[in-house]
Amino acid sequence: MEQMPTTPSALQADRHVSDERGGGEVASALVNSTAVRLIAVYALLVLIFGISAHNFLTTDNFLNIGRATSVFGIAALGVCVALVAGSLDVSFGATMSVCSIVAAEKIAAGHPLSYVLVYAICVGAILGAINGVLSTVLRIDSLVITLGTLSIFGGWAYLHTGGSPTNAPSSSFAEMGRGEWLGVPIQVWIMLGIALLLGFVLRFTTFGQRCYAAGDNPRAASIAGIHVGRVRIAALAISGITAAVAGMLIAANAGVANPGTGEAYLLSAIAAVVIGGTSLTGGVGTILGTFVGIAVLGTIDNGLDLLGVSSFWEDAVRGGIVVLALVLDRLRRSAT
Amino acid sequence: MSHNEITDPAVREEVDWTLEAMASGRMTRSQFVRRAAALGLSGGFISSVLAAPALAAGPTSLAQLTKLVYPQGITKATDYNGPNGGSKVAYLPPDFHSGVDSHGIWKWKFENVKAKKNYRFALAHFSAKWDLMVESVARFKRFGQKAGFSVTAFDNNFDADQAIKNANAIAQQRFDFVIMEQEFADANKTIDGILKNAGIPVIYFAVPGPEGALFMDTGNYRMCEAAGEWLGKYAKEHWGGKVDLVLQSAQPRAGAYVGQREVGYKAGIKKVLPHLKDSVFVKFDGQGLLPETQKLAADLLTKHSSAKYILGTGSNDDAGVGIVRALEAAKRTKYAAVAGQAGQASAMTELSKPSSPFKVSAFQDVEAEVWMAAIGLLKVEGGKVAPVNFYPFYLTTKSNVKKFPPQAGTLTKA
Repeated sequence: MEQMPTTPSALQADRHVSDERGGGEVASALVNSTAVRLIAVYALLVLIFGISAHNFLTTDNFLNIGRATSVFGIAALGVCVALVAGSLDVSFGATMSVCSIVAAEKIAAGHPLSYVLVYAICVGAILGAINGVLSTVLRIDSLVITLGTLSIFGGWAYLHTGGSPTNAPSSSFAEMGRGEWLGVPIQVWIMLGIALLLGFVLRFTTFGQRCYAAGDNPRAASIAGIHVGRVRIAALAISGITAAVAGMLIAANAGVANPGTGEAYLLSAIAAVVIGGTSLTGGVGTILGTFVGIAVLGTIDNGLDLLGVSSFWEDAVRGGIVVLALVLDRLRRSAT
Repeated sequence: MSHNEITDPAVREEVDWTLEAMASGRMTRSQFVRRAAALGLSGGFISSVLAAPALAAGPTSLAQLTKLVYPQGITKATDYNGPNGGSKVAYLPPDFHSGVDSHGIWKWKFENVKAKKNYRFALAHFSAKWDLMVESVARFKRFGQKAGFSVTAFDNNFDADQAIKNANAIAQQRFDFVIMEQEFADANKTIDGILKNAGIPVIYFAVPGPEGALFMDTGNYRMCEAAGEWLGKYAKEHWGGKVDLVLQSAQPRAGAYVGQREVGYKAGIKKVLPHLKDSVFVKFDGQGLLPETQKLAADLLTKHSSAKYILGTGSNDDAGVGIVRALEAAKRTKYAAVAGQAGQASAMTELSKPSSPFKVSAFQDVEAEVWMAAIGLLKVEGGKVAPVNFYPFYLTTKSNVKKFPPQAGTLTKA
């Protein structure tokens, strides 16, 4: 529990936090306007593809987009929380692989689905927390730490399985990856649920405010009595949890868990977060922005597919958008 | 006690070691008899081991070795225009195996050989991150132990530079024979120069070396042509030959040899359904990955929303299953048939489902890959080898999936 500031310096720090929160409201308005601008960009994309691509404006097509984006989208939502708190997590792809294998093994061993879900999520949370603890204790940038754990977790996945896929023979598990509810893929519902939950946490809880404070100005946050290390450990644990969920969805969809399964999602997830207006230096970003970033990426991929554009172009366009988003972020920070 | 009755893993391991030591010549026949008796193995079992052709006869003669490696001999190519075009080829007959071992692995007859001396073979494989490769390495090592030569693995890590570094290391360590598995044809030219300078013979797998170099052609075109033909026949029998769309998940980033797969599928389908226009075939870059293929196939199904009769071809099985997932999501599986390649775990699972549109996979036995080591043995012992070699493929379908042997994860599952 956080203690009330009692010393002059602590009171001064608390005032600083109040100032931050006052400034935070301005920042919040800015962030909101960023989200609004992103939504406008998204609407423009929909309009362009709606006119140019046959069958784009159909319910089935938007469900396709949802299905195609939900795995990396779920991972991106967790990465957004970690990044807001000032910790860039690049190990989530390996965490996805580990958790998909762990889940598939438990399914194969006959454990009930609820047990498997909780177990894999706990593994994800622990791996995320390990990132946080190492980064905090060793005082090393989370990017460097998670680059290391990316190799360690990923290496474990290959060592543990001998490179072989692990079957996940369960119809209820498969339903999670392939099933539908009210005509919408279950994985899309899961992404929406996680987005709402994390959006609420970041926007309306003390923990969320501490994430912004720790990411924006860790020294000031620390003076204000916020345990920046703990906040970041928790934020990275959240990133681990979302990676675990994403990993399980891949295994559920495929019916098998492959040790290299999460590697392909690194660029897409980080791109969605950056496009969504989350600053790579922390303290700025919203779940709504990331959600729109996910939709923008998915819609561009889908629209280009429908137009018959080569997938090589898709890669280039995706990379170009990320660079553009980073440039805009830089300009925005220079302006403020 | 026979080998199968040994339940204690420690004893079993010791027995296996003893058998391998005997097979590789590290242990004499009398030493083996004493050791086997001490381990409690039955007299009948010991006699049967000593009577096995590979053990009883000592080193295999060159004539016998040639007969076991090339049971059909070396023939003049009549229908082959690949690397070393116009040269002679050899085929491993699909039924040149008898029974299965305790792992369920087919016992190929060419494995009943014994080297004259303990040669050192280098296996520079594609990547340890590929489950079939990990299994393949284990199979090569096992064969080497049985036949009396050692196999040292090098990981090319899907990287031309790493493959060249490995070739340098192999040259420096003066191995007797090299099996080179890497995907960049240009790098093979450099590698060939390095190994030629060191005087080490090499066989290239899947992607050829320079003209004249020993080559194991995986027959990408042939096996996918057969799978395509199977799909064409399916469409003819079930849909009266009507096909509105053929989704082809390709791997353009994997080079020209993997690219032969979609060419083969298309040729096979058109062989049966020559009326199909080229516009019906829609090729896309699925990267050999299930999620990427699923995403792109889903988008293409949206684009071609009026297509009713749909065929799908995957550059591998995961890609084939990706098309299946997209068809399922679009609820368009009723008039769909999909083929894959490789006999991966994902395909085996799909083939076991009666209602899945995944119908056929062109499959090659990983154990048959060790034929390259047998060819190497023939080469180092002065025998005549074929410049181009083919090992067989099979079409796995729902009706015959259970008769094929296990692949990745058989010897290597952790």
